[in-house]
This record gives sequence, C-alpha cells and structure tokens, in this order.
Amino acid sequence: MEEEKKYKKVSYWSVVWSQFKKNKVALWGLGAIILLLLQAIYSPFLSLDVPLVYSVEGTTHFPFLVELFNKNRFENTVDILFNGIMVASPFIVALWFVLKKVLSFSTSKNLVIFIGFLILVCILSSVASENTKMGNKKYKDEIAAAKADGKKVSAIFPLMKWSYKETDLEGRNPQAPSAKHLLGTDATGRDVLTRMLYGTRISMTIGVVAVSIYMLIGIVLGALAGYFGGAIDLWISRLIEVVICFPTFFLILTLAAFIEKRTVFHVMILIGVVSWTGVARLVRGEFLRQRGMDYVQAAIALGISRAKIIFTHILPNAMGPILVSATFGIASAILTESSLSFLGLGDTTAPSWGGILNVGRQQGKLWLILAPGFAIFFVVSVFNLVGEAIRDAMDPRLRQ
Amino acid sequence: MSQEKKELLKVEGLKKYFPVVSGFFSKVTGYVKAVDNISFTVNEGETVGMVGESGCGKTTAGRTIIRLIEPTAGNIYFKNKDIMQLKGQELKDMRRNMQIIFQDPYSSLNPRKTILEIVGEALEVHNIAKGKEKEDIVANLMEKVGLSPKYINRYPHEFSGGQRQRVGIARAIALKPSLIICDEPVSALDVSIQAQVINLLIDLREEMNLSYIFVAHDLSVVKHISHRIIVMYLGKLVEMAETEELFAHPCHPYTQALLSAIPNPDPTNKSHRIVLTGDVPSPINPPSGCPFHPRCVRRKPICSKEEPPIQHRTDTHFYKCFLEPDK
Repeated sequence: MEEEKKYKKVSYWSVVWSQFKKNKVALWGLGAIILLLLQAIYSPFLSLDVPLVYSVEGTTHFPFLVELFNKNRFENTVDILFNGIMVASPFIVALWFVLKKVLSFSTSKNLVIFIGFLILVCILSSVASENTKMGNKKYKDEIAAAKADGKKVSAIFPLMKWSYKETDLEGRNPQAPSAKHLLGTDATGRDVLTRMLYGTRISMTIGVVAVSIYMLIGIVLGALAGYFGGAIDLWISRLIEVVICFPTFFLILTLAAFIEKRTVFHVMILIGVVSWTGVARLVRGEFLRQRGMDYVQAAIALGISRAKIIFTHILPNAMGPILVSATFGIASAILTESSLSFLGLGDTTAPSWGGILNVGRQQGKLWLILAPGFAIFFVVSVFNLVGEAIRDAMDPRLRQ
Repeated sequence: MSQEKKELLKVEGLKKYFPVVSGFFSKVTGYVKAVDNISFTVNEGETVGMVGESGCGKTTAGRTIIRLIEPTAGNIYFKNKDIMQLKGQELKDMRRNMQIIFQDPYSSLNPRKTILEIVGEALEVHNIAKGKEKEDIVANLMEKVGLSPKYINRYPHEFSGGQRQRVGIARAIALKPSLIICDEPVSALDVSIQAQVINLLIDLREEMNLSYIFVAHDLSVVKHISHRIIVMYLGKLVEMAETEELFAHPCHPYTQALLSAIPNPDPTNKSHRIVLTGDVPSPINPPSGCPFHPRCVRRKPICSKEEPPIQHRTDTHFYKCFLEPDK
C-alpha cells in the first residue's frame, strides 16, 4: 500500500526524450550535430599553425593557449568566442555535473546558470583578445630556421599545421588535393580543409544566433497578436504584411551592401531582423487556436496572470511547430549566409563555406565546390531530420 | 431545501451582444443577442439548473457570470458585492470564489502539464501552498474526486474522459470556491459515467457547501441535481421554478415541449410528445414579440406583436407567456 503512495516523477522533457530516442535516424542526426559542434569547438586542435609545445635548445614554450586569444591570429570574433568555450570546456562539463548531480536545482534554473556561465566565458575571451599585443608570429618559420641553424628543436603541432588564412605559395594555386593539403588549396593558397573546419564555427553560430534573434521577435509579436487580438492583432498583422512584402533575400542583399565593414555578426542580425515574419504568423495562428481552448479559459478563471498564461500555458503547446520551424530556420540561415558569401556580400575575412564555394565557382575546380557543397547539404539535412523528430516526439497524441 | 438561505449571487439584467461585423472596414451590421436581459439569484448551497437548446446562450451566460466574457450590460452581485467593476488584485481574489467546470474534458486540461501542475497551479498563484504541501493538497483533492493519488504526475492524455472530468472538478474545487459554474459537465461523457460524475458533484456540494449553476441541455440530468431550474430560449429567460414545481406544472409551451421529450421508461404510459418544428431562429434577427412564437403550438395572433408579460404561477414560479397559468 505504501508503494501506491510513491509518486512517479516524470518531467515533460524526459518524456519527449524517451520518445525522440525511438527515432533511430534522428538519433544519428543529433549525434552528427553534436559531433559538428565538438569539431567546431576543438578546431584549433585539428588545424592551426601554432605548436602546442616546442622547445629550442632545452627551453620549452607553450604558445598555444595565449595564441588562442590573439586577435591578430584570429581576426574573427566568432573564433575568439569558440576558443574561449574550448578553453572553458572542462569547466563547463564540471559545472553541468555539479548543477545536475550535486545541487539538483530545477532544470530551468540549471539552464539559466549554465547560459550565464557561457556568456561570461564569451565576455572574458573577448576582453582577453582585446588586450593582447601579440603580432602574427610565424612559428613554423622560426622552428625551421632554428633547425637550419643546427639547434636541437622539437615541437608538437595540432593534427594539421595550417591556419585558415595562411597562404601556401609553394605550388601553383589552387593546388589539387594532396597529402599536404587533403582538400587542396584555394586560389590564394589557403588550406581548404582547415577553412572548412573553421567554417563549421561560422555556420553553426550564424544558424543559432540568427534564428534566436528572429524567434525572439517572432514569438513575442505573434503571441501578443494571437492572445490579445483586436487592435493589437490588426497592427501587428499589418506590420508582418509590410515586412513580408520585401523578398527576404534581396532585402538582406541590399542592407548588406550598405554595411562598410561586414562581419558575420552583421549577417546574423540582418537575417534575424528580416526573417521573423514566418515565425510571427505561425505563433499568432497557434495562439489564436489555443486561446479559445477551455484550458486557457480555466487558467483565466483561476486568476493566473496573463504573462504566465501566455508563456507557461500556451507557448509550450505552441512550441512544437515553432521548434520545427527553428530547426528548418537554422538550416535556411546557414544557406542564406552561404549565398551571401557566395555573392561576395558576406564577411570576406571569415572562412565561410559559401565563400569557398564562390572561389570554386570562379576557378572551376571540383574540390572547391564539392567539399563546401556537401558540408552545407549535410548540415541542412541533419537539422531538418532532427526538427521533424522533435515535432513527432513533442506531440502527446503520437505517443505510445 | 430551506427557503431562508443566504443569497450568494444576484444577476440583474445581464446582456451579452456579440457584434456582427462585415466588409473591409469591419462595420458592425448587427448583434447576436446571446444573452438578452436575464435576471436570477443563486442562494448558498443551492443548485440552479440552466436548460435550453444549443445556441440559446446558456454557456455564454455562465461564462459571463465569472467574467470570462465581458458582458454588454447588467450587474452581477456576488455576496452583495458588485463584481462587474473589479480589476487587478480584486478580480483575482474574486476568482477564488467562483470556478468553472467545462464540457469538453479533452480541451479543458493543458496537455503539457501533469495533474499536479494543473490542479496545483492555482494554489501557488494564490499563495496557498507550495512544494510538498501543495503536493499533499493535490493528492487529497484527487482522492476527494475519486482518483488515485498515485496518478499525480501523469499527463491528461493518460486518462479517460470521465477521469479527466474528475481532474477538471478537482481543479475547480482546489481554491474552495463557493460557486461553481458547471458548463455541461456531463454532456461529453457516456451515460454510466454521467451518473458517477453527477453523484460526485452532489457529494461535493453537501461536503463543501457549494452552489452550482448547472448548465445542460438534458432535463433528466438537471432534474437530478438542481433545486431550481431556469429555462432559456434564444438568449432570454422564459421560465423559472423549483425543480418539482417545474416538472409538475410546466407553464411555458417551450418548457412543455422540452419535458415531453424526456424518454419515459414505462411502456404503458404513452406520453404525448410535443415535437417542435423548425430550427432555433437566428439570434441576429430574433422574431418579433415572443421569440418562441414561430415554433409554438399554442400561438395566438398577439404573440408575434407584443413581448409577453411575466406571469406568476406561484411566488417562485414565473414564466414569460400570454397563456394563463393552469392552476
């Protein structure tokens, strides 16, 4: 009889997860996303022209850690942030463990602390990079010179010794794939594989940040319009219609042309600011539908506040289609950024997949087209797969 | 039932008109008079049944009373306090005293929340209980409505319709209200479950001294639970009486037609069934005079011209018709 009294605690997300696990293809997709993310974070270990350790005549140097925050080596802020996350990753894992196992706060509280910590890491790493006065030191040349002088030199490099902007002028560029450059080089002699690896960082960030921006705008406007209706709905709907009249991609192109020094962040904000209309309409529709349901009426009758009804009652119910559209959105944001870079209107310094593709088109070299093309295809389809699986897993009616 | 009960709710001249808009500029071209000038009272511990056809405004009336829908006109006094003007915190406090049970047990529970969250949220919002204490109260409530507390962390989709309706009842009584609007709470359930839920509502009424406004379209259900019955037709109140009185002496032709539609289990007693012809007229353009006259079997020429007067059969039994009460 006592056992009857024991409450079985099942959180909503654990139910969703157990449902998601049943979809094997999506599980592989999720694995692929996690692998891509890890690859993005740990890119410097895969390819960088800075040795992890080197010693000349008995003196050992550890330039790797400091060079990660050298603005002259990593011109892109995205890279600095990812390097910060890489350095902090052992702490991040430890924090997660502490939050989950030791303190056992509620999941939402965990998430807030966790995101706060991530933002702290990003701020610290950008501050650190702001204060470095290091030049773009050529370690490989230095080591080669020391070797030529007959000094005792030993060095441990990352897997590949290239940085994404270092040019190899020892052959006729673009070089075809070889043992030295596994995917060849581009027109200026930069290693394509290395650029592809760092390109993952750009694509992932573009996808996540741009989609976060437009999800935020879309959800807030859509929720207000759908919940309150009347005049608020009228004005928000007209605003949506005005924005939707502009072809998104050409609007981004035009706006991008006005920005003098484009960075990837400009591209993210541009995508975010013009693409929220679809989400807003979706959320508005969902809210209109849910608003009339009796459970919302019951919540009003119980005296629950409007904000709470909107965000904790209706939004979770509307989340399924929103989440699916977000994963599709990540895929399309990556595509948009690639297209911009392809047209030469992206961040010209960043190693973007679209940029590589653009060079490949100009040069007519197959390896310059296939590699980034496949990468874009792969990421887009993986996100779509996972999105569909999340939708199915979140639908309580599809549960067995 | 004792007559000297304290008055709990008083509804005066309640109206709810929904505007009918058309055209590009959303011009108001007419009104749906869903609830048209109804007045009644509910005493403490009393159940008032509200019956009528689909679309006669029963549900709208119920929801207007607890201010889920803002009325067009009228006054509602709850414990002698005018609740039409309440805002913010006062409105929130008022909500503790009035709750609602819905018809559809499927859409009335949030599919994303567990029973604990659904029933317990109100306790938290009104600062009554939190955490373990809240869990205990919810478990208690579940037992009270006949659900095993071990299901406390289950989701609504894991329950049957009758069980869900019990969850809806648990949610409604969680704040210990004094009045519950039952918006056709058993219409969506099958007959054996209907009886269980009705009996549960009666038990809770005795135990917690609840008052109900029991909205239904099935007179036999209403007869079982109500002390008094209101008959509505096209947004208007057409007859009101004590349950026994109404069943013994229905005065309005519409009430007579409704009563004749109740199936009689005795095969030897062939009752005369009054079959209403035609549909309920559109509430946008209600018929002139008595709204019931186009379908009335006993209509007279005057019915289409003048609004019928209120006539009393007894002190507490009145109806709106030109026909004389049959004493």
